[in-house]
Amino acid sequence: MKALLLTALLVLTIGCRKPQLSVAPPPVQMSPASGVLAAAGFSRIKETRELEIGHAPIPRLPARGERLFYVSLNGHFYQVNLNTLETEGDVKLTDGLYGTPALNYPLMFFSTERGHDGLQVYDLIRAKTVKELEVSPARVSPVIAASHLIHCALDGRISAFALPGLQKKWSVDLGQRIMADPLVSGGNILITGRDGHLASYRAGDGMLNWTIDLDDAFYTAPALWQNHLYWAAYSGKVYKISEESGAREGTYNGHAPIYQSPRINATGLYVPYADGTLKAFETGTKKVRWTQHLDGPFSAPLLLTNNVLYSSQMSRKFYILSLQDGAILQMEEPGGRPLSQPLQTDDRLYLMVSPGIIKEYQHEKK
Amino acid sequence: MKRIVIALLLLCGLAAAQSYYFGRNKVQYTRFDWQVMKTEHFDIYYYPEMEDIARKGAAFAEQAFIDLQPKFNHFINRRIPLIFYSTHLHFQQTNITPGFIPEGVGGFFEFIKGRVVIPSNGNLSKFRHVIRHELVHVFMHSKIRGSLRDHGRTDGPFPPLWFTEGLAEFWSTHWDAQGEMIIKDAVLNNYELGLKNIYVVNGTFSMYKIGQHVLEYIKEHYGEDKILDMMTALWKYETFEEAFKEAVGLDYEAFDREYLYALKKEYYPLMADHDFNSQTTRAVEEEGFNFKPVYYRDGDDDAVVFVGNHSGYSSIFLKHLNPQKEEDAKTRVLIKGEATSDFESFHIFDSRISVDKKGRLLFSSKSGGTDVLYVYDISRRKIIRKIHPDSLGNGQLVGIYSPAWSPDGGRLVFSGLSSSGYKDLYLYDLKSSTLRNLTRDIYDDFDPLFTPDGRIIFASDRGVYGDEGYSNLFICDSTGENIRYLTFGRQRDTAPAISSDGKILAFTSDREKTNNLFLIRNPLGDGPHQIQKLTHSIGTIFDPAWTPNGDLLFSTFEGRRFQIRLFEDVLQKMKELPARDVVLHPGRADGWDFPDIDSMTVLTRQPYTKEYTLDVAQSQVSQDPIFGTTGGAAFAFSDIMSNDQYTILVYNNARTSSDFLRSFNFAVNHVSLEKKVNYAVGLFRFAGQYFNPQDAFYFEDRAGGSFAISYPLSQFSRISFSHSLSYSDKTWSFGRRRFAWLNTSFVSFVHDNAIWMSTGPIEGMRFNISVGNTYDFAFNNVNYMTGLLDFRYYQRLSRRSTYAIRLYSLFNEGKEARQFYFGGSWDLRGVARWSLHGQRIFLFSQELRFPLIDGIGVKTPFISLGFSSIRGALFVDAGNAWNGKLEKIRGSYGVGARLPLGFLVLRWDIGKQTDFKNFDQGTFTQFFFGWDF
Repeated sequence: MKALLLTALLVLTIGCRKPQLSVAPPPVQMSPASGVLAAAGFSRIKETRELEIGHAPIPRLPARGERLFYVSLNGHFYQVNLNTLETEGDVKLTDGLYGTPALNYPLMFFSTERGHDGLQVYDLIRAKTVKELEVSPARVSPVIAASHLIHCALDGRISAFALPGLQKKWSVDLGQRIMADPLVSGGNILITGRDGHLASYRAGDGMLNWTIDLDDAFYTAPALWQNHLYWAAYSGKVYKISEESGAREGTYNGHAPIYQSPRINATGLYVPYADGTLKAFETGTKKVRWTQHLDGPFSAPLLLTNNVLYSSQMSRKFYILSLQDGAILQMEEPGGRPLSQPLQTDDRLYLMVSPGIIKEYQHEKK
Repeated sequence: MKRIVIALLLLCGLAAAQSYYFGRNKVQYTRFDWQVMKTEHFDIYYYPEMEDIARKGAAFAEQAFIDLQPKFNHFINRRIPLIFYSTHLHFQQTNITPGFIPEGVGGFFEFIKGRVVIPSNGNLSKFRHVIRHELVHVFMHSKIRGSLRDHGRTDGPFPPLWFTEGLAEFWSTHWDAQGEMIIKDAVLNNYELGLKNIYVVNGTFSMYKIGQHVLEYIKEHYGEDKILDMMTALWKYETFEEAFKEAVGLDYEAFDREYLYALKKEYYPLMADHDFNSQTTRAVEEEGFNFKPVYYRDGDDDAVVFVGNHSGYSSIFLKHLNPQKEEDAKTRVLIKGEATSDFESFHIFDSRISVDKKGRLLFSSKSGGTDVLYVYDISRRKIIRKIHPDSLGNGQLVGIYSPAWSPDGGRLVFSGLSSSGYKDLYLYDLKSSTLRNLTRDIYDDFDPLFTPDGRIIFASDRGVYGDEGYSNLFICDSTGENIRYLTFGRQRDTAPAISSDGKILAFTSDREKTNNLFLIRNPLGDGPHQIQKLTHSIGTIFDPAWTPNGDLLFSTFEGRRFQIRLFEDVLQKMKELPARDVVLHPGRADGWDFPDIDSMTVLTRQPYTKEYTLDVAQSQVSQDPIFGTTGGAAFAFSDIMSNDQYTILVYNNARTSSDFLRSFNFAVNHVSLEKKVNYAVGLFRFAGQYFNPQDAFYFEDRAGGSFAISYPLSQFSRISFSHSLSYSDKTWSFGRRRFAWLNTSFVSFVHDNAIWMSTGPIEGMRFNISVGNTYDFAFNNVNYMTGLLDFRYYQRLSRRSTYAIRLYSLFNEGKEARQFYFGGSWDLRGVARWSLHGQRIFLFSQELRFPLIDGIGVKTPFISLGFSSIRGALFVDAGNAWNGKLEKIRGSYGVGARLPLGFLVLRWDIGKQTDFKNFDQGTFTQFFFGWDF
């Protein structure tokens, strides 16, 4: 009888466990640049498969090898095998995720925007939350720099935890609300305040390198290119700031609010304005190289490759544009609003569209 | 449960057919030949007469769509239905909202189908403003609901009305004299409300403008981006104030401290060189809302005639300026409006009135589907002429505003709004009864008047700044030709009033932020004019009118009241005032236009075809210990105009699977509201176990069809007829069974012109007289007559008290006649609810209603509660229900209190029962949720 009861209890316990991921991803290191299309030219994409998740994703989803970590705004965390385009399990973490979780395999760090759940530490192998760090709600992604996990709370409090033990090492107050992801550059971390305060800290000890205050409002993270930050503002301006000294070195004028970060590479600076205009500037002369008017504001961060720009619109359209002249090379209507930055692998492209569908596209062979 | 479902369904069908027990009628006077124009983002609904303005409206909408995207950082991924009406009188006929649309409503956004409904009303800038205002609502609704949905919240907070309406104003127009009027008056009269107390003005125009001003302040001091911040952060919270705090960094209380202080810093310095009208001019009428004064010589006394609202009905009033006797000092009602079909609305905000030398009052009023003109002999207190100026013009002229007499009293000039949606000047010859269109263009020509030399002065947006919403004064010949500027500039110059000798023109202008009085000497001369500012007023000034001895009557908003006041000795004052030249623009006056929608972007244009979409879907399962389980669903569909509506009800109360078909119930109703005559047709089958005290338990299977038709005689009266034919198979629990083919017919006459306070009607009358017959034409098992009289009259005793009576009688007579159930708070108080029944009912109720407590608050460390407008009542009821012969009359008397709770009223009655011979020793106490009869 006792055995029966124990068995029943065990079954109940197993049955009542929270859903969890069944397969941990392999510990593969992937350089950020790998997988991006070579500059060998544009090839059209063609829809191949789709996977319905049902929950809207955060703006930038992390991936690792063939696995996509699909994190939803309402706190669901799915592990998706991109080869099979099937989920390998899911868990419900907490309400109110927005920032991209940081990964220090096998740990993932989730900052939460709503409530007082703190910073959740999720173990991919054990498939459970192993720790919650006491921090205020945050809208932005936690990042790892100089063996520290950096958490930037919405109220401006920046906290650093040493890895792997997660002891709190330092904490400073930016003095402004933090609405955009911090940027890691070498051993420094660059953190932006909503009302124009930008500060560079040493990630190891929190020492302030420099600060600058601009009379503008900011909802975007700066783009970093050749030791310069390009910080896009609500006023439509993009400020060029020296990464080394924090000195303001120029301004790229605009006409409408900017809510998505600009992208930059050797071909130019690409700025998405909230009225749907996309402008390409020459970084040196600040001249507008081309302007493209797309229909409606941008719904997800731009993805810049060596030869094309992927642009997601709230009008449920997805564009591939030529970097050279802004020409629309291809327009897709994926059936929903692309909500997350597109994910590019060697021969495939993934769009995460509303209300929570992963669309897979294959590059056509030339 | 079943009875309730049936009752609800029948109510639904009949209600939609405007066969409410009481209530006014939304009359479909006009047949609209709806067309659809599909643009890039909108489906524009319009009718052919207004195609030109619809094309401009389409362009406004597309431009607003483009402009609002970056402000909201959002895109609307559905086609937005935009329904245009060319006039407010047409707009008031829409079925898209079942309620009555007051004159002040400029448009609305409806949430279920996402429809935007807007009238043009003659002014293109206002049309553009309202389109943009409503589209702000569309964007905000989509943005916030989408954000909640993305974050997995099925419900969540929505911004309060001050924010939604304030933002709609903020992102659709610039800060203007109307806004300044509200804020300045509030600050300098010490009643400015911060966000914490804004509920006091919830839903009012003041709330719109305070909301707009708060957002202007946030933009200036915190950045416009914070406004979007509030919306994007809202999903995280349970209240809007939390999102506000996240964006701005202050809760309402802290924000109010800062904001209200800033307002004082801004407006208090005005006191140095501006005056309250109450300190510098003479009060004529301060009670209620008062507008559009004109001088009238009443025998030996000077008097003013004006429009206003003192009691809930808009009326035309007369008041003596220098009363010799106390009784002459009273304000008298000349013509009571909004209570009869002749005087449905005087357009008190928009339409001036005029009195000629003979003492004839000229005014316009809505009567039926259009406005008409009335000539009223003031001394005889009599309408002497009712004029349909466009009686031969195919009804193109819909609205009539600000009629004015010619110097000889033979002609009238007025501003007319045609079904094209444009407002022009018209001249009507009284002798020949002919109408002439003086201007015929896209400009808003208003406030016309005749000069002593027979020309016409008017206000218009035809000036070069008209496309920005500004207006200037113009003068033209009586033929409408030779239009030229009298004033010029980027301001709103309105309400011209010329002295009887033609030497001085007074008008109002907001050229210095607030409406003040300005004067022009010799306006009829050809040379350059000089302008003088007469008032430096804190209160906003409207509607000047000269008296013969050179004083100026005017209306003003000051201290939260629209008053009539008198500025004395204007001519003397003029001598001291500095003058400056009116600098005129040398070019053409009527040079601007708004572009139509680009034809290339119009996808299709086609006649409207009805497509039905779901309005409501609801399912319900209920469990009753006696009647068992009932499961069912109800659906409602309608077309985009909501002219045709379908309701479907299905439910089943089977106890076993074999009983499924036997217990299957359904009802399908179709209601048509498109034409003046409304009708409803339906099919039904109701089967199941029922109970009533007369029949006890029984099973009845009843199936058939129904038809109802309602014909409105006016906004206030209607005749309705309903008919049903059904088969009834009824089995009583004691074994009797009968079959019947029932033929039921009812005819009703309903009248209702009552006006309401928060707890019930306070003035007017309403009644319902119905007779009907039900008979079994196949087996003669059923045959009875039904009669109903419900008469209610409300005699107003003062502004807030009334004496109400109700006479209510029902009878049923014949074979298987139904019993009526009676008693309780709805009718005979003191008697247990529905404890009396019989085939006859009689009730006579009297109630004295009066204000009891204007406001009461309870504040604890944990919670604060406040109630306002608590009213009291003294009542006496007499009545009974009986079969055969009435043996005694039951009655009750007592006192009560009524507490308005928003959508409901809590009634509390304490009284005693009586049979009018003896009085009960004990008292009864009844609580009830419902309005006074």
